[in-house]
Amino acid sequence: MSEKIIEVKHMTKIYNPETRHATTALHDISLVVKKGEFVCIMGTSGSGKTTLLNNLSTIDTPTKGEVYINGKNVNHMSESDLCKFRTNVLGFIFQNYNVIDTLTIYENIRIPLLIKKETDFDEKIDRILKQLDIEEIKNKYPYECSGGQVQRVAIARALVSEPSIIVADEPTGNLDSHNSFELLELLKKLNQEGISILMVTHDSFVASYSSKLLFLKDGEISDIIERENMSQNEYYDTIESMNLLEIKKIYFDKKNEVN
Amino acid sequence: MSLLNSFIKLSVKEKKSYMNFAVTYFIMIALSFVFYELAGNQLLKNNLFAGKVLFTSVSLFTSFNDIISFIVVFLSGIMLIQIYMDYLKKSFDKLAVYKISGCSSLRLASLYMIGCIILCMLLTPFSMILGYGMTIIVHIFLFPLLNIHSSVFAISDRVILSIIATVVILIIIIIMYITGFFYRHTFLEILQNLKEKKSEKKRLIMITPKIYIILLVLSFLSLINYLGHASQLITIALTICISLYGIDRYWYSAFVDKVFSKDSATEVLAKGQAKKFIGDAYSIILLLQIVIIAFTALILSRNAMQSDLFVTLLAFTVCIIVLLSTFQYKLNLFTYNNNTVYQYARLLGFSKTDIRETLSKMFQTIYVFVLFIPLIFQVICMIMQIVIYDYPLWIVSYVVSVEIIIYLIIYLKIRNQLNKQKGGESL
Repeated sequence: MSEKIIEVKHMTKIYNPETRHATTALHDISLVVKKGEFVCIMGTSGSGKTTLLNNLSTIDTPTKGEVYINGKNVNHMSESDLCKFRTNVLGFIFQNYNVIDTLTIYENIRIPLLIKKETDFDEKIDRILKQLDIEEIKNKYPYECSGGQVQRVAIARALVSEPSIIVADEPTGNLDSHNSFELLELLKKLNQEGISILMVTHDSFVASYSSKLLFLKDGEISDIIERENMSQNEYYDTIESMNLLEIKKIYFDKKNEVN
Repeated sequence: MSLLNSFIKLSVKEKKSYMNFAVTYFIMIALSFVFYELAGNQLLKNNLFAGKVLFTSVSLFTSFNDIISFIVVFLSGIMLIQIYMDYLKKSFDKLAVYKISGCSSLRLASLYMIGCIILCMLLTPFSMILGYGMTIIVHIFLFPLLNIHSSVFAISDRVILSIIATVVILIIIIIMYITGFFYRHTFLEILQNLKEKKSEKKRLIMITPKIYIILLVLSFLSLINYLGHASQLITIALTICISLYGIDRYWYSAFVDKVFSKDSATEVLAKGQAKKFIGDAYSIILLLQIVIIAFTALILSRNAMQSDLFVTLLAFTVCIIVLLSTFQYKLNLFTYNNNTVYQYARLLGFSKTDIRETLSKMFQTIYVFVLFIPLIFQVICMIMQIVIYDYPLWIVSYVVSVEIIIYLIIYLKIRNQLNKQKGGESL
């Protein structure tokens, strides 16, 4: 549990820098994610959650500061190295699934393996299809499946290349309670198997599955909660009270500003 | 007055869409002007066919040139309709917002329709001036090169003006009909439609309107009827066109499946995109194939009959440019609208080079798919004509060079588009 998988040093992200419309989304963020950790990022709308996730997962690049993944500085990676890195190390799961409509479920899951130029993959894909209970829909197109099924396809696609980090942006956002629960249990199981997870959410229950919570406010980390020996219920209560406190703070700050 | 103000605000906000519409309309009216002038030019006919009494009088829609002119106007109109429909489809999502803000269907329809009608009215005189200029160029510069003696406007001004007026009125009626079709929905229907649109967007094979094809086949049938006898080539062309129309589009899907390798990530992605595009643009693809085949047959049969060749060649050039532009417009729109697919692919580990390769493979396959059957037909026809009918070489050279030039322009445009994406952040 001690190996650093992600390390961020003084990261700042400014949109439209050097213009009149410059917006600072993240300000001087430093954090460490260790191997096998399940880290959750929470915060109000516009606090910079998704920006942080995008910068940690090489989708975006920071304006200042450095991001190290598996000890490598991603700012210094070439375009092809970044692509290989995304294929081999990262698995993405998003709220709107991000599956390719024009390909069948099987083809969607197979794509990362084709990028890796793997040839013997049928057995691997079949195993994942069975594990996620989507075997019957493998020849269907995404629009022929339910939201829960499509999200499982997205997970299968993220897992098939055996990544060491799963990046999830509001993965339960479009799912009903039953499918959300199943997805979270699956993420928990994957985490127990040693995969590190980095997840953005605004739901305290979803966050209670994590082992560490980062609370973002106005582009800065305002609080960090470690679960340690807490039960999930206790952890959930702590997150809820923290969340409530933050909301109250924001409300009273605004009220004071107006007065 | 407030409606006009709303239109001005809307046109400023959506100037790109209006500009597309305006440019297409401008060119369409100018083309109509040139072709109807050529079709009705009595002096041109007399000089062209001196000693051969082919047409005793000029009456509209009874001569070969009239029908050709009608086809040219009809095909250029398709591009206009395509652009207008894409514009309305794009603004369909805004309907719910307007409706919930209390805007009536009639006002909404008027708002969108009035803009295009005002544009049509404003542009008509200018495009007629352009048409006039083009006609002068044809008569003064092109005809002398071909040793044809003619004079501008050997047709009554009144006739040509009434034709243009008819074309304008027809366009306005079509615009009104399409707008009405889009905007008659109630609020609930719009929400329902938006849901359906989501799933429709994802469908690979869409049901497309058949009216274009039926009209085109009817035009050719009337043409054959006018000629009094069907030449062999026209019969073959018609058979191919009808067969093309009859082939189930799932065959095309199977064709695309066969062309791409299943073991390459870029080819798998390109296959999905190509299938979706062929499904979306099926009617325009079919129309393009039919027009190339039919015009080839017409050019050759006209040559065999030694009449109307010049107008047919001109019509062929214009039609192929108009249709390929419409086709390329749809392809660009499709690529732009499906940008998210490439963004997802980037997250999976596709490099920018992979995306360019995917797009390039997709474009190549689509163009091969569209032009393969017409090209085979053209080559067979040309060989037959050269060997059997002693076909003049300049006509063969002309048809082939027109096609090569257009394909070259498309190739350069696609290459330019791909190069733009090379440095672009959109992917």
